[in-house]
Amino acid sequence: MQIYLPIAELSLNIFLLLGMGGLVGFLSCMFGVGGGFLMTPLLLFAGVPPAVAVASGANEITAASISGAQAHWRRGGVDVKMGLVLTAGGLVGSYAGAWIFKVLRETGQLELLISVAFVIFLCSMGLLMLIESGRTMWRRYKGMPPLPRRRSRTWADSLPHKIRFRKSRQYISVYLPLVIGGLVGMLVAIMGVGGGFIIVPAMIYLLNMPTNVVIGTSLFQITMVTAAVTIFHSINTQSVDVVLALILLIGAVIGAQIGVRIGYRLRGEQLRALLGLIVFGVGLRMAYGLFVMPDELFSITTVIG
Amino acid sequence: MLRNIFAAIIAALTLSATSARAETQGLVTDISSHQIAISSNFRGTSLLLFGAIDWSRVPIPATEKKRGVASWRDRPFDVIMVVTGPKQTYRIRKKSEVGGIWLNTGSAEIRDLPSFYALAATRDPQDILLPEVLEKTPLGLDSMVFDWSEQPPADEAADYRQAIFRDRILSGVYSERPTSLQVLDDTLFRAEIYFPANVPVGRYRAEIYLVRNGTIISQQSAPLSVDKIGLERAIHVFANTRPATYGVLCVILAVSAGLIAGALSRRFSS
Repeated sequence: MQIYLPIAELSLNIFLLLGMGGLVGFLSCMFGVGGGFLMTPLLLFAGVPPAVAVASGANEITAASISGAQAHWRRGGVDVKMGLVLTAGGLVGSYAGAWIFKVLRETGQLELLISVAFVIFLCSMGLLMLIESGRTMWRRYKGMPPLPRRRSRTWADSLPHKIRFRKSRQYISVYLPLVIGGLVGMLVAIMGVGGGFIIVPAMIYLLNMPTNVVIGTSLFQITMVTAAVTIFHSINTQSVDVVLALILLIGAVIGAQIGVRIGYRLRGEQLRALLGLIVFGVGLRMAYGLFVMPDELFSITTVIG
Repeated sequence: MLRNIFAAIIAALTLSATSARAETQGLVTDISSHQIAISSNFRGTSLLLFGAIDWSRVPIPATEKKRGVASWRDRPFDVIMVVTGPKQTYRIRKKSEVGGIWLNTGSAEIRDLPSFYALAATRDPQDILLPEVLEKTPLGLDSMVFDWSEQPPADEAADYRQAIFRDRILSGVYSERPTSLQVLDDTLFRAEIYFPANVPVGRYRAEIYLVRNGTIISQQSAPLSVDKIGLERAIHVFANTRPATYGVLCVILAVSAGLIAGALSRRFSS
């Protein structure tokens, strides 16, 4: 069954869209990532124009992550204070990111920046998570005591304006989550992703937060930032396709509810290993695209105005 | 089926003869519909372009008249139909390898390129029109004139040109079917033009040319509009006229849909 998307200006199969939404929603709730790093490429592959894919994707991720954030909230898995600080940084970062986006689009190197950013972040994050979770699993298998999860004291601890995040069991400088949120927000605007695949590892390895609040808090922050990005994109480029977003989110909320249940059954390190594998795989795929000669050397875009 | 279509054509012809529907120099043409309405189940559509040649009114050049030619009927002739969409500016980029990585290095921009171009004819315009005629009235992709607002590298202009056609043809908005136009009894002609689901919206023009001896002896055009209707139109207009409100509504919609779905799934699972 085909459905016409009024902003994307094309017809797509409704079941294809539902399936894509479902897959992304499943990952979203299982790992606390927005799934945007998968959604954007999938939509592009289906023929949706890039601007519409990014903007409508953001709108859909809002819906998918709020249903997940709520599910985690009920289990007490959201550190609201931490989430708000991350969001504050995220809003500033996404504004800056949107400006970089505009400049690069005019010079034609946006595509390259997006690919390189994806490759660097996905590959390094994925590899890091795989190594760490593999080591934990190995130690558990051997019956060794788990590695102490205390972060060693670094320059970050000497930063001023410390705040207590009770739920995350942290007493850290407010600038640490603020800067992380800001960097992620920048990537949200440039790459059209929720940023969960960066913020989840950042919370685990940099902020040293307990795994059970990481996913809920990440979803909380993603909901806020993608909502802002949706409004931002609809003002700037009028590229939010509400019909597309609605179909995707119907699939996504179904997938999300399945994901959150399976996620709680798996151990932390298994979850991290799985996410690491997916993230690394997508990164490799993007690197392949950079180094292999494309089938079509030319790309054509319409110029507005 | 065919008979019905021709019956419809005749009916339309008598209608258009009385109406203000244009008729220039012996060509009478019309389209099965002057509007394409895009609604939620739009999957592309075909329109029938049809017409008739009134040979008694086709102007005969003075040179031929002198030789006592009273009518041009029974002489070989051709018909070309072209449907063009609203003009757009396009940017084209070319990738090349730099240190092992493929990145955009070349770029060009074309002004006023039709966003839709469909040609139907009895024969390829290149074969039936004189070069000087094609130069004045470009017909067919091969003779389409590009107005570069930013020139491509001189030695690669042809590659850029072909790349644009390749891309447009692949997405279905450019098509050339030089033998798809049918002529019946040297008078009636018809061709079907397909508009894919991604057809750009806006004002279109259908041009019909009557060709003999390598020149265009008569020409006729008809307007056509492609528009969104109903909810699709409402959404499109809303998103473009009140973008901030639209964005906020999208977020509210997403948040409530997410929460409702969450509540539903809890109810069913517990």
